[in-house]
Amino acid sequence: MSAQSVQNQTGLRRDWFTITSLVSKDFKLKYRRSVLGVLWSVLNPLLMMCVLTAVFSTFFRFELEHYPFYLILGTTLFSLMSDSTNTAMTSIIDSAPLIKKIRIDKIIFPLEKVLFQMVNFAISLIAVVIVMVFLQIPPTFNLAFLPLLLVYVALFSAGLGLILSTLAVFFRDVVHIWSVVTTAWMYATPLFYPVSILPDWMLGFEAFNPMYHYVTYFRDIALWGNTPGAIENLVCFAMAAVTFLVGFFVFRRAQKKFILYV
Amino acid sequence: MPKEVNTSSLMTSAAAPAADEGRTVIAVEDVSMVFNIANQQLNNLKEYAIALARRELMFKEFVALDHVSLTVKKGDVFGILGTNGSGKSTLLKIIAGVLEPTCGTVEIDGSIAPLIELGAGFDFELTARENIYLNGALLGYPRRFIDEHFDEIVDFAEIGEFLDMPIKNYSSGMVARIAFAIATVIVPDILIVDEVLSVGDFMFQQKCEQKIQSLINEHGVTVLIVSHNNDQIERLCNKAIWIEKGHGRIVGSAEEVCGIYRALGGHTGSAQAEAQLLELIESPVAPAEDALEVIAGDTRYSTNVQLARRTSLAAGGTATIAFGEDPDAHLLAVALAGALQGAALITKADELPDATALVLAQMAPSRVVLMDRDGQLAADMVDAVRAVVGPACEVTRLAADGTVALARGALAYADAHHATFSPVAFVVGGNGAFASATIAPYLARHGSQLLFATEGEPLDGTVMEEMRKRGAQEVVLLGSVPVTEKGRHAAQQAGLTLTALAGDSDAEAHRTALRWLTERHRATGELVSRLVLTTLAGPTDSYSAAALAAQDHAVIMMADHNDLDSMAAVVSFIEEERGAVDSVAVIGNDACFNGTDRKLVRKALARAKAAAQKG
Repeated sequence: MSAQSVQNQTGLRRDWFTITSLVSKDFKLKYRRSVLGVLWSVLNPLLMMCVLTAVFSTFFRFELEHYPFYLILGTTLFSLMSDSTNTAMTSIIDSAPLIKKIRIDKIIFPLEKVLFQMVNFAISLIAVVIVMVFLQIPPTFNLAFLPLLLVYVALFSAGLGLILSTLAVFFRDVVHIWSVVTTAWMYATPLFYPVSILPDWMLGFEAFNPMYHYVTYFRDIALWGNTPGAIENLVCFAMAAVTFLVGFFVFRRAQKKFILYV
Repeated sequence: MPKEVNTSSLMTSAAAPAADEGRTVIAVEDVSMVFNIANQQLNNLKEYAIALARRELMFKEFVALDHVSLTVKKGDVFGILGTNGSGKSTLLKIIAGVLEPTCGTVEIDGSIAPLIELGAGFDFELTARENIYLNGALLGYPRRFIDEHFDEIVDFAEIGEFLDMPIKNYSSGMVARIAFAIATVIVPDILIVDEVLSVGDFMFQQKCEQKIQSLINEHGVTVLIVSHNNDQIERLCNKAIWIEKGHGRIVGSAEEVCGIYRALGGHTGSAQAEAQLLELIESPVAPAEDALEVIAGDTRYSTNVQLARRTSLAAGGTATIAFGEDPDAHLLAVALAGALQGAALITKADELPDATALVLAQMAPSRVVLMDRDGQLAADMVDAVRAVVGPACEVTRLAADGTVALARGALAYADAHHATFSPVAFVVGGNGAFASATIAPYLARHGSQLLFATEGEPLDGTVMEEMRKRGAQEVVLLGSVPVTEKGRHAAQQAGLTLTALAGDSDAEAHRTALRWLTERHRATGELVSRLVLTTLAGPTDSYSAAALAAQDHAVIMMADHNDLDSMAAVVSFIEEERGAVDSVAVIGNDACFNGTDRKLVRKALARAKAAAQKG
């Protein structure tokens, strides 16, 4: 087989093979040498939920039905976003040796990280199902909206990841700032507490917090059995699409300079 | 004199590449690559803000490539030569599409397989099998292609049984083999090879070269190679370019460019010197045969012995021995041997080298003088020498503190043995080593008084008077010799002429002394028939060669093949003598003067001879 025919296959398909290879590498490396392996992706959110439930139901006593489930929905979805953005952010810096040596589409690296976190999220959904069964929460047809929600969150995280990875190349400070920002963002989003305790001005803020929308969407379809309306879907999609497009263009514009800075 | 590397284009009419047919596969047009060094050092906002405030952001540019152009035709094997940091790899990365040039265009016709730093993207926690797929994916191979060629890769890399072991447990050679195997499993239109052939062991390097050869011969792949290894480029390539500090210097056939690079590449010196040498390299004259001999030992001691063997040694004479790592003592040994018509040898501090002992035994001297400054020589050296030369021989140890005292001691010894001195006396001061090295044959031949002077013990009236008493009429000062007012006055009174031979640099001092020496030769009507070429790295070899040069009526020229000016001076000297110099003795191994340097000298000899015959 000549190189011409090897390299003439569509760029997209080639990139997809590269991305899946990298995801499988990350996956193998993540669970290498641990006895329970993949099980940790299920155990981790469960254990975290137990700790948080113990803490918050003892100290704060929120009047919430199925509080553990309320909690795990919020934390898993939020960590999908925060893990995606955090890993995507350093993906370009970390693949400096590659970028410097071979001709490769650089957008692969942040996108691969988001995809890898999606895989992890899919596994941690098992924990969500376990809690659902344990608390005997009946599933509804609204769960069919889950893939749509995942598309929104993936697009949103990828967009943020692209912006962050670009910024991190030029200013390493971003890496340090972002961990503070995600922590603040986590507390600003009603993950552990009910929306009802928020003051009015905070509610106004939440309207512009995409994660608030996505977490609420997730609880609507999984916990409360509500069908998300067209407007809610539009808001969620618009936030994701705008973020992604901004990220995409920022990345595209800056990527030629990456090699000089990594 | 600043050390400068020339970067101007060397393209002469002779070197211009012939317009050859064939499809152009790589066209690099006027490509420049400018890195902003200042920007790249800024890793955080604070540094950025400071730099912005100081308006440093736009400065500190580094030009890695400056308007470089080259054209590679289908089927060419193109070599890129240049010293470290000259922009070779940058150029390859631009061609491979990894880097974007600041200006200029690169047009590529065909697929490229870049072998630039193999194993990019290997993860050392993963097994070889996993890495083959991962690396393949990163290089853009489809999964099916890797499946099909998996066995081929494993076979080439010779890793069969270790396939499922994490590669962190592999040897670096094994990793390099896997990487090379993956990179060369496809048959590309253009193969870019960047120094990869310098990794791995000798077997692997051969295997890689064979693989590249087969791609060239069987598949007609166009290849671009960067290598430090000149021979490799000449062996593999048909065309080459020499890049120096980002400037394209010369493009042409691999043979021609390699020849020029070998002689000039990475060497410093003036543009005139370079032009002179280039002209000689390019001239069609055949190098003179049998006109050049190499005298070299493994160490300074064996070189010294080899040189001593070349001189006719009369039995029953005098041998002087100095510590080989003390050039001043060595020079004094040469001068004393010259005054007593003996031979000068050098020794290690604590033992007599075997070869030295052997030559000493063969000389069967009646007197041996050990020159010992500041007690450098071991106490039992006298016994060691006595054991070699036998009880009949008189062994003297001249011990003194400092070179000034040692020189006086040597003169006293010479006086005691009824030496006669030439009317020219020499005094060595600071930085006088290279002037002395040039003068050494004169000392060996004529037996001159040799004294040292320092700031603490300057040349004063008493010393001048002593020199005059020993028959001196002229005093030559080598290096910066401190002379007191009284000393000058005494010299004037005694009718001694003072000549100073010094220079700002070692090479300059050497040139000044050489000029003086050749004028002496001319004045006596004595032709310089031979040239002894020694290294500028130190005076020891020159001192060792002094007796041989004296015997052969030769002058010593010191040169460094990395210093174009010194090499050009050698060539000029040979050509100016117009055929009188008909042979050259090169002192030192390939590290000092390699085959290319020797060829250059032989060409100069041939041309000077031809010029002499014509005119």
